[in-house]
Order: sequence, then structure tokens, then C-alpha cells
Amino acid sequence: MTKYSFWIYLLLFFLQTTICLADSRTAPKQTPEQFVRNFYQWYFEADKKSVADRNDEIFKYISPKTVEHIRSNIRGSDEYYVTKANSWTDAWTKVKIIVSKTIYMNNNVCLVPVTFNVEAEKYHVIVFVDKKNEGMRIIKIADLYPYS
Amino acid sequence: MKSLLYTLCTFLIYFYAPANYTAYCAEQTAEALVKEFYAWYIAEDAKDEGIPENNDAIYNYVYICTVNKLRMNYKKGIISFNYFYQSNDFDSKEDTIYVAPKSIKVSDTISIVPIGYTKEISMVVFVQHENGQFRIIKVEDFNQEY
Repeated sequence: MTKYSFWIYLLLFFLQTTICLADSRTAPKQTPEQFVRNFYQWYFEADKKSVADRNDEIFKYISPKTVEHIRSNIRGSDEYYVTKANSWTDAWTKVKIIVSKTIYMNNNVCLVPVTFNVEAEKYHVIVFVDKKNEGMRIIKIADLYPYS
Repeated sequence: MKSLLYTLCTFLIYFYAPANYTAYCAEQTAEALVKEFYAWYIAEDAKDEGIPENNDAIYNYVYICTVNKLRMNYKKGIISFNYFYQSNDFDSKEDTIYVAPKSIKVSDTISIVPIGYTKEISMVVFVQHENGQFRIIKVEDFNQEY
């Protein structure tokens, strides 16, 4: 028996590591940072073809109520809701997205600060992410300007 | 005798100076301002002499443009709830606002301070740091989407 015990241990070791690896691969845990980064990457890519606010894929990232708000305001306001910028120049196609560390608020909500580097300009926003419902959803995007 | 006095003085300086220094610094933080503001605001509100936004002492805590805009919007009836509580159900005679012990810097001039009705955080206060002064610029609530 002792003759094989080494091989049995070795086998068990490999079994365990493969199970662990498989497990972590099937259930990737997405952090709010990754979620927000994916959202903006998708948004800027989709916006090159047509208005991303009108694309229904937006529901994967933003809560229905907030999407409704963004769409109802699409012509009324001169500000882009998700970037908080007033104008959309060609420079935005080369935007650099910098996602800062998540700030956890309570069991459901966390805030993710994002900076957009557009040539020499910097735009700061704070993305409010809620994970109350299945998966994460953005419920609000705030700029850093005073109440208006 | 003289040397004893010197040592005593040195000790005094060593022990008191840092304490005063930290106390001085503690006053100059975003979270301290928010805490002071809510203590003042709730006490003022409890007096039932109209909304505290109309008291000019609010300029000590809140950014001038924010105050002016709030006064205008209250007058026009654009805001139907209390902005600083983000609610209509807050009882200034009984309820309190919990202010998180630490603010978080989000840009060169802006910090955010988490607050709530209990220790469960439900809002954030945005504080601007400019020309050595801290001022509240806005409040955002988690319950209201967009």
C-alpha cells in the first residue's frame, strides 16, 4: 500500500488543481471595475456606428429606468449622459478610459470613478453600480460639478 | 535647575505640538465639514423657522452656486423634497444623519463623503476643496436612479 501512496497523493493533487481551475473558469467573478470598463468600451465602440443610447444592448449595463431617462432626454439636453461631455468631437474616438478603484458603499451599491482622457482634456465621472438585481447594473452616472 | 527646565520644555513641545497639529488637521477635512454641516442644518431645521437654506450661515458649508440654485429651485417648486436629506420623511427633532468617518478623494479638488440615516450608507456628499476651503457642492442619493 505504501508503495502506491505517493502516486495516489500525486493523482489527488492533480485532480484537485484541475477541479479548482475548472471551477474558477466556469464562474468568473466580475469586479465592478471590469464591469464599468466593459460598459464604456462597448459604448464607445457602438457609438461609432450609430447612437449607442438607442442600442438595446445598453440594457446589459444600465438599469431600465435610467435608460428610459437617457433616451427621453436625448435631444433635450446638450450633455451626453454617460460621458457628461457637452460635445462629441473626433478626439473622443481615441478616448483613453481610466477606471479607478471601486468604492463600496453598502451591500448593494458601489461607486466607480472613471476618467476620460481626450487629448489634453480630462473628464471625471462617478458611476453608481447596483448589484441588487441579478448581475450588476449602472443606476446613475454623476459628474463632479456643483448642483444644477 | 536650568537644564531640568530645558528638558521639561522639550518634553512639553514634543507632547503637545503633534497633538495640536493633528487636531488642527482634523478640522480641515471634508468629512469634518459634512459632520459640522449636518449638525448645524438639523438644529436649524428643528427650530421650524423656515428652511435652513434661506439662512446665510449656510454659505459657511455649502458652495455659493449650489445654495443659490437650491433657493431658486425651492421657490419655483422644482424640488419637492428636502435636498440635504433627499427625503420628505426626515424628522429633524428625532432623526440624525450618520457621516462616514473617512472621505474618498475622486479628483484633484473633489472628495466624496458617504452618509446615511443609519450606518447603512444611502447617499454621498460631494465636497470641493478650493483655495484652502471645503464646501459641499451636491448630494447624490442611491435610491433615485439616474
